[in-house]
Amino acid sequence: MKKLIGALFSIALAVAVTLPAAAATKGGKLIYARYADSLLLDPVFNDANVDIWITTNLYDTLFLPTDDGKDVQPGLATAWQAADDGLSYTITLRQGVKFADGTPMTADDVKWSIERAANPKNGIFNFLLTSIGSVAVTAPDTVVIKLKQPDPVLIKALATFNTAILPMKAYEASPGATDEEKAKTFAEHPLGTGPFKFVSWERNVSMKLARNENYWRKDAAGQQLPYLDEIEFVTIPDDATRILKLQAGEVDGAEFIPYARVAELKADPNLDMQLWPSTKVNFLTLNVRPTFKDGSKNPMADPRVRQAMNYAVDKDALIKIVTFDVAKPMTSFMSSSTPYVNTSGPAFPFDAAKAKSLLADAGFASGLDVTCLALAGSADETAILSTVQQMWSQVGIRLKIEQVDNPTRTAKYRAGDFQMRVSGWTDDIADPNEIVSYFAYSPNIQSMHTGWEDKKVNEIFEASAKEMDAGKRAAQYKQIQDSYMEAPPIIPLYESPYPVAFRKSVKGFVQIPLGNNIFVGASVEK
Amino acid sequence: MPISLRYVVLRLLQIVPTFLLIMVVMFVLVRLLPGDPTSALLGERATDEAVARINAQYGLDKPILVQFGVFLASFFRGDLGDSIVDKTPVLGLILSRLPVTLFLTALAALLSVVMAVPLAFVAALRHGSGTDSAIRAGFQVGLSTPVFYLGILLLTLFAAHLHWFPVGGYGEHFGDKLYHLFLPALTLALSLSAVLMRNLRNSIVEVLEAEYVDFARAKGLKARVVLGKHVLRNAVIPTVTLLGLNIGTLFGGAVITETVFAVPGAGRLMIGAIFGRDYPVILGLTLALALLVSLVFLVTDLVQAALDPRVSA
Amino acid sequence: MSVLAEKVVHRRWLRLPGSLVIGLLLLGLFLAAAAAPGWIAPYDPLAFDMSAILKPPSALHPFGTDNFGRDILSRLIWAARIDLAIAVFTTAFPVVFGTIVGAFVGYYGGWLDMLFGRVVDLVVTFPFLVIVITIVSVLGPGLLDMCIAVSVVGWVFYARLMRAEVLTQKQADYAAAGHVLGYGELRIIFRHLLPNCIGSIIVYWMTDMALGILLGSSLGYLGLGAQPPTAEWGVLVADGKNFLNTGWWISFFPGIAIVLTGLGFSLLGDGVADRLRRGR
Repeated sequence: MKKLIGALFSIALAVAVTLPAAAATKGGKLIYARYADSLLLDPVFNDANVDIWITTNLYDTLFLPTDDGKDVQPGLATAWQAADDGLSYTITLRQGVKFADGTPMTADDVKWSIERAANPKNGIFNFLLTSIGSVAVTAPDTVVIKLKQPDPVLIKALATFNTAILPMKAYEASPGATDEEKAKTFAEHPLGTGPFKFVSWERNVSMKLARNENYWRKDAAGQQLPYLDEIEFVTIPDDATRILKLQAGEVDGAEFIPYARVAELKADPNLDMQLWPSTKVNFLTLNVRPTFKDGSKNPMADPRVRQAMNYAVDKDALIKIVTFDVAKPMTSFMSSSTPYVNTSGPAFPFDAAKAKSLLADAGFASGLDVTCLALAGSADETAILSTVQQMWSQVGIRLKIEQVDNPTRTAKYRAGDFQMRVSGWTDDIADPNEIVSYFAYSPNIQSMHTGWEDKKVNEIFEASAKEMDAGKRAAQYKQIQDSYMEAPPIIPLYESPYPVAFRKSVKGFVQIPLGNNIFVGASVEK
Repeated sequence: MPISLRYVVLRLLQIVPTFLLIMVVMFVLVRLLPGDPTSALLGERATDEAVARINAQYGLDKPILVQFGVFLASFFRGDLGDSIVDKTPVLGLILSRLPVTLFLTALAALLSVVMAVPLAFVAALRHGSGTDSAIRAGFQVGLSTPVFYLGILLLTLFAAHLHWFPVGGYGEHFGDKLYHLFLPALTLALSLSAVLMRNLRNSIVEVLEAEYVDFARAKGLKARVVLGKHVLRNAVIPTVTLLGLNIGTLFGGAVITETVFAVPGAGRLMIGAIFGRDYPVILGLTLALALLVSLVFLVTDLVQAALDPRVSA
Repeated sequence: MSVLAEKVVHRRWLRLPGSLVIGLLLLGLFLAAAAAPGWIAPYDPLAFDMSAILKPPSALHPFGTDNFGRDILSRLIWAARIDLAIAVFTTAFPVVFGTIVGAFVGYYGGWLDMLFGRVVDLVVTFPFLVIVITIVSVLGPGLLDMCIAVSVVGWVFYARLMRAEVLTQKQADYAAAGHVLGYGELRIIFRHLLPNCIGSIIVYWMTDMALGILLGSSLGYLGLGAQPPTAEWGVLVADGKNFLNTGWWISFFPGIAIVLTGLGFSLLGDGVADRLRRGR
């Protein structure tokens, strides 16, 4: 069966090659294997990377992130101008932009989309837009965003996926009584201005996107983007199977390659093993409240214990064992790709003796017991905890591992009913405000549900949200990091790149540190 | 042996109380699972208000009896609700995923019979010999290998290296689907065939040693005839029964096989629903499975009744 | 059973068939490993060795090392007691409880039988793995909870088997004789019916033990089995899944251990079945 198909394909190929076609054009069909399928393709109401990384190919935002993820470039907006008092921004919109079905994008679509994204009742990402008061259309190509307070990060926030521009009329015409219901029905046939348009979706099997013929963007040479004719996303949950499919040539690309296989795929002459710098940080979250949920005393409430725990982990060895040297050590709780990150020296260099003396000072010379929640079936989390378990046993900390499934862990975590857990984090915006608001700013979610609180840090953070001077802001974030990292309620382990592998024939794929899969410049060579 | 309509109807009616019991048990059991779908869905970063809002939207904040009442009411309307995770109707999900698993298990059942029956005869006819031991040991290895390991081995060898089969997935039309499902069905079939083979072999050996075969032979009937009529009839019945009884085991194996081979079946759907606390899907799928299994049992009982004159229907 | 008949059966047991011997030898091997792992294992199963990560089988490490540098042979030996414990504890309650329930249901019949029929329908209609996963998810991961989950459901199969056997044996002569002789019902059930039905129960039990170990492996694949760093054959096989190319020995040797144990149980069961059939 395969031989027949192969033969037919070879014949077709031979014919195609001999035809005097536009030989220099890139294009083709890309089959990409994912570990899980999307759930809801709506930029505002979705809640997972599996959705975000697809919607960024269907929809555009006013500004687009640059390839290094640190800055923004024009997208559906071509220019912006801040008022002197910083309380309003005038955005010039790109002309001639059409949605994938040919209808033109208007300033009304922009106003409606941004207000929908900023609405506190909609989805979970509106916190990035809390400064927005209202959006006004002043001309067919201009919108003015009025703010409640100065916001140094607004333009970057307008490059985040939840501010994507949707067609207001088509959306409002979708069946559904509430906004969420409309989002559901509209998301079954998404319509955006992005490089690709939605074709079909068979859940957990495959999702097909095709080139948006009306796309506004051209490449540096003036050629119309995107190059690809079609993308098909297939869902292969098992890592080993996904890689086998890639090696067999049945898919052109596969995401989330396990660390253990990276070296093997690098050595494969048919494959291109790519490691994209990311904002992904991996750490252990500690409950630092005075007592646990059951009333027993919590040793980690003592900052010396937390410091000891940090010093007792040999991060370099851990990176070698768990990630096979693919990951890098951290200098702060933020990744090195996040703006304003502290870069002075590694965080808590390995020092077992210091750990032991700190524990003794805190009264735990005879050791202590602690339990950590891990995600059932995650080889990475098991590897991390097995290694930490081994290292901590040298200083008298007895770690017990408890694998639970995702809902159990999330429920316990949110209720503060845990001692420790393995965690990961990726930024959604190229600014440290998001990560700090979750990790260190206690009013939000009690500092990642750890119960850690520093009132001074809270004040500095609130001030930084309105600070327009970059230099002052950098100093504020340095202060926040210094305070947090003194005796952090977490144990930073490593930052890891996105491991994606492609067949050698695939060119031009980009994954930015924020995680977005950028297919606009990708092509498959024949 | 004629099977009376009365028997069939009686059996069908018997399914109803079982069905209701399953409904109640499952409804309670899934709510004993720690955690809830909303916090799993919204993730760790969601605020408490967001969680409360979604819970209210799905009626998850109402008392359990009310929830059950709502479920029963919509069930009798033919509506199984919407999946909390996928946000699509449960009935549609089941109708698209269950046939895949049925196809897979049917193929696996067929393959296990094809593998088990001939070899069972060989082993039984030469029972006690080296061939018998070799066959039994061979099947034992197949039975004792963890399903996912077997699956990955088969995938690596026959699909990735030899390219004889595609690496997982499902396929478009019937022939293509058969092609894609062969390896996963083989994986499933190996353990079931071991069970079938052993039981069939033992039954045949018992029959061979039994008095009535000697009696028939003494009457002068040829060995082949004896085998054909008596052995077959008396050995086939336990096999059919066994096949039917093991449908549940097949489905359990299908869960893992579908994950390894990336087959979009009901097994993966069930596991995903349990891990996502997707109550409507878990319930709907359980009921659909219960119905199917009950029907399978009915069919095997009828076949058994038809074959065995001692059982009256 | 008459005294004479009992003597005949007893003498026949002394001549054991080859397969039974092999089965006993295999299981004996693993029992020895389970009894005294500290004596036999060359290394500490939990010790990391950074200099020996993913080493293939060699003189130093006969079964190779895993991605933490832990010796596979040692982990395998230490896992023997865990896996044999799984085999025993996933079947102990079901065998005892199921056999007793099945005996009573088969003997008395009536409404007890009808109730039992409903329970059987309920349990058998659920896919076994799904029920186990659900119960383990409710109770929490780990081997104890797995044994509980399996026991809650597993006894039904033994009961059903026992009931079928009892129904057949109930008609036999010696049971009628027992009635005529005025024996109490309980005595008939436990001293006379039970021993005759126990044959197929034992065979089923042997297979079930091997299946218990395999279940541990499936749960290990899903992360709900033995918790790290405990070594258990099934989890060892699951752990090696990502290293099929770079460390095939991690899954292979524990897999062999599972196969051999299963073979051992199966041969034992078949041997017992052969003996019992001839003894009747």
